[in-house]
Amino acid sequence: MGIFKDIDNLLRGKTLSQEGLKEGRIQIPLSNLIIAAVLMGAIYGVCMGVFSAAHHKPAEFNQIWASAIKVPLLFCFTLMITFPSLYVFSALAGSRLGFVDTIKLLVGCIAVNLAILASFGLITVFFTFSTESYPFMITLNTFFFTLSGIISLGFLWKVLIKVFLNPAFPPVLNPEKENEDSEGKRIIPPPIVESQNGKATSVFYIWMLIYGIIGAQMGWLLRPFIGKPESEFSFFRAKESNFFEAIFKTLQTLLES
Amino acid sequence: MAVRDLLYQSGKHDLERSQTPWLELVLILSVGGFIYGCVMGAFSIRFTQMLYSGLKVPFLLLTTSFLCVPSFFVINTILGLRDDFVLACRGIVAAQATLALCLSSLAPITLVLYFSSDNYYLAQLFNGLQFAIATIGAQIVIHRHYRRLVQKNPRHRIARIAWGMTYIFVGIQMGWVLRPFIGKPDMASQFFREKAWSNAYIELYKIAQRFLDS
Repeated sequence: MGIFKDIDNLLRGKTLSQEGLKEGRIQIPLSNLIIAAVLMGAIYGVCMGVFSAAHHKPAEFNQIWASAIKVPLLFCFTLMITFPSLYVFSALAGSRLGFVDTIKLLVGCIAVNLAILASFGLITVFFTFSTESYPFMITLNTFFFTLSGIISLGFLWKVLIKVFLNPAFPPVLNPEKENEDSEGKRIIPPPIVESQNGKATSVFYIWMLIYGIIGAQMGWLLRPFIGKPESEFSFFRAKESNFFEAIFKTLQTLLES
Repeated sequence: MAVRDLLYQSGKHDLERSQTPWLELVLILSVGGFIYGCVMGAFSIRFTQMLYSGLKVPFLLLTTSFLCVPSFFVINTILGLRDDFVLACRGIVAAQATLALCLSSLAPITLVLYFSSDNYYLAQLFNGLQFAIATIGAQIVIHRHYRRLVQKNPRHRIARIAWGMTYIFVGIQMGWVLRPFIGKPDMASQFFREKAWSNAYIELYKIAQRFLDS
């Protein structure tokens, strides 16, 4: 039950206190976050794989367990690939979060993402039984993944703002003429909060870009998640094109049908 | 630990410290560059090309800096900044080490691209982008070193711009001479291409001319 309480507190924004973040600490047990993320990813994976069981002739149940494994794997691989660059660039921007705390923050963000995604699970199952259109299911799932991704990025944004309120590299003032202008008059330094908000914004955009692109492409590499009704079951498909080209073609098919 | 110190300018890499950990900086530069080079050369999954590229990336960074240092020294002297030359060099080497570190942190992303596409030209373009992103990291570190120097004497700004221009100019040619880094799939693995000692800028001009004529 502790796991669900942690996730509930995370979604409510209770876990990440301003004081802890200012000092570069995130007080959530990493193991609980990982277990919760894997569990919720697997739940949504099952919901995705049901389409293959419902519309494949004969019913293909292998896709259910395959997707239950692949959804958590998708987030795990994306994190493994993007984490080194995300950590290096946030550290360079002056983040106070250390190596482990940055992992905690990103796993927390993924847990939020998967919690939202799992909450869409029943809707996915409902549409699975009410439509036979494979392109529609792809579009619906892409929409759910995008929506949950955007909401979890909102969570990340809130945390980053708190982290950068107390940066590792505060603005440097002239040590010899601190707070004085050329005539020796006292000057008020520019508001730090505003400049640090700018840094948080930069780090956030870089993270969003890297994580979004790699996540989308990783999803493409790990496909199928839904399972084409006319294709044989396979854990992975052959290497071809990329996510962005494929989603454009799917939309085209959906609109032309 | 050394990597963390470099990123946060703490411990041995604290800007307040008078001693510079030169060896550590060169080590980070070499290891980081080697890691990215190996990944860069993995396009055709050939061990020899990976090894060659792994050796060539740190070599590219080190030799480009080495060739630019004499002119940088003279410029600093002319601008009356000789007393701060060691501190300026410290900033430059720290920026090079950060560039290599950023590149190595981006290496898994390059692997994903190689795994997703067989397009050699896309791989070339993507590696160029990765270098551009890593350069941003290097610029952040050089800025941290230089803001203290500029406060002391604003002429340091001119020296920094001069360094940047010289470095880019020499770096492009050095990259051209040391190619291939990725390794074209239909060509054998090689340390240097035939006719390696040509001029990158003339080649670029020829490509632009061909493009305009077509």
